[in-house]
Amino acid sequence: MATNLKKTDVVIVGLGAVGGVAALPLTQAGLEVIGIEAGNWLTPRDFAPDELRNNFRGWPQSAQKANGEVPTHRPNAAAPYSPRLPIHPMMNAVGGTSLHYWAQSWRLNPWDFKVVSETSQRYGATRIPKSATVEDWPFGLEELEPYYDKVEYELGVSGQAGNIQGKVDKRGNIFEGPRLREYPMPPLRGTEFTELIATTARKLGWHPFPGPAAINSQGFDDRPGCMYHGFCSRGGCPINAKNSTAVSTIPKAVATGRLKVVTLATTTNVVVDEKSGRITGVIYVKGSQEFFQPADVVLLASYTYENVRLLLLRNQKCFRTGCQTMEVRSAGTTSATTPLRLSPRSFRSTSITGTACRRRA
Amino acid sequence: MPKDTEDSGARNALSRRSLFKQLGLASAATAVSGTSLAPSVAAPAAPVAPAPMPAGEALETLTAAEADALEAIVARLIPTDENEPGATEARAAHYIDRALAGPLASSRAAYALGLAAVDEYAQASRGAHFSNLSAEDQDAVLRDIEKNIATGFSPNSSVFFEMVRTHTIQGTFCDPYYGGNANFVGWDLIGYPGIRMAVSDDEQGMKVKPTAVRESAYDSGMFTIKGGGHGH
Repeated sequence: MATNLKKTDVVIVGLGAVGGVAALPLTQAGLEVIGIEAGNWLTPRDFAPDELRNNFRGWPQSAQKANGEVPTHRPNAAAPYSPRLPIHPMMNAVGGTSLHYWAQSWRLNPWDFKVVSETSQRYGATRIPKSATVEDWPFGLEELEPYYDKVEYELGVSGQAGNIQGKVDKRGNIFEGPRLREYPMPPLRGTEFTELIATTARKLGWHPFPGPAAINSQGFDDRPGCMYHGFCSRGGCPINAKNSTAVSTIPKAVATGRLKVVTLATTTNVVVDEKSGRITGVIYVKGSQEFFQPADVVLLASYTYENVRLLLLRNQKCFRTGCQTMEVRSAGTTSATTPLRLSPRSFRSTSITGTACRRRA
Repeated sequence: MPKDTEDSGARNALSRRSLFKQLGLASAATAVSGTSLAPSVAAPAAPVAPAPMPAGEALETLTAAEADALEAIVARLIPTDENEPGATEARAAHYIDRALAGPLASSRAAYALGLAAVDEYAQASRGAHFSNLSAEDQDAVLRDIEKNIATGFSPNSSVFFEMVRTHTIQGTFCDPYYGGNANFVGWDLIGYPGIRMAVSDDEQGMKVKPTAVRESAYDSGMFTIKGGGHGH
């Protein structure tokens, strides 16, 4: 029997790249937020430059929940399933995978919002397969720009702007859409090798530029600049120069006094009121105890696998009353952003896999 | 370490020579940095202060026969030659033996079955235990295993080959803390200088040969079990 807890405004399932960012504006807006996280807090002393432990043993000091749960896949029901990779890079800790990501912080390009119409215009409508689920977005980059700007400045992103309010700067990405202002920090240091590549690319008529990264190129928010020790790929930063949500937006949200972080807690179900069809909260398990956390809004931010799993759980009532759209959209996001099917550029948006389930008014 | 074949004797001689070479350099670095560079599992011949550890290394999971076969396999996967040490000197088999008791425990059964199958296949196809074959015959057997021609493996021999190859690479190039890459021979082999917490612009130049620091992540106190309190 689940213990009933005091109702809150918003419950966030998963305090990673999505939930960890969302917590900040919600708490700043005065809402009481509870973040439920399967993993625990990690600190700089947990981020040893150890390739074997971090890259091949899947961070044994984190919850390693994902490693035991990674779905297998198969092309059709009759086919044998493909063995999953022994280690899945998903991290279960406060900050989630943003603790060890490469911190590449791309915005979508204007083109990405109009994939179907732009592709049809350039290559003909037949280039979109009939079975494809890809669609134009219902809005363009300009609608998202203020939010990109806010995240870049709250998180801390280093980069070279290529288009500030329509003024193109060839040192940056000339193909990007207009941005309000410069990145909060200049780009990270290049090397002789990246300079060689850039020079060669320019000779070919290409437009190389330093990629944007949520890594401090200089001091930012009282945290130091990068020391270039080189263990970023699947490694955490021992000096907090890499801007995971665990060192940026989550502490800022905690500082408002309105974010309560519940660690080592696994959400097992989204609760739906049978009569109204409304979502009323979530059930989570911590240790051997089960809790019901009521909330007005439930934000699923536990990556596509867990989001979809939670929505597919015995909540048929929920599907009939509004969640269906959300579930399909979440799954659609996955297929539309699979790097194997579309350009690598589309892969960027996989970090936007949070799903909002709001009770109907 | 098995010493029962002709070429492993040659390997051991090379091993000692290269170890002394490495230790000479390591001692100089020790004097400069003032930190201990001896990995937790020191080489038996290390001419440093008496280690508070037994001279030998226990087999934590493998049987002696399995260890013989594994030592011989890793010696061919990353072979020692007259210039450079290989998986033998890096103690890759020791790394695997230890890891099978912990993080690689799920592979223990596969090693038992696979190593037995290696010896059976070596016996059937070449007339001797794998570790007693010549280097050429060992390579031929390993090629059959890699190409899935070898019989007697479950589910098949190439899966076993891939697993041992992966773990041999781990044991040769891992942080020395884990019992492989002994005396940093693996990192020296590929010109990797060791763990540096900061890398300067100059050090990233394309023609710059990095100065070997031969530091493990666990030589400084920051990431070890002893030391300061937790942040949260």
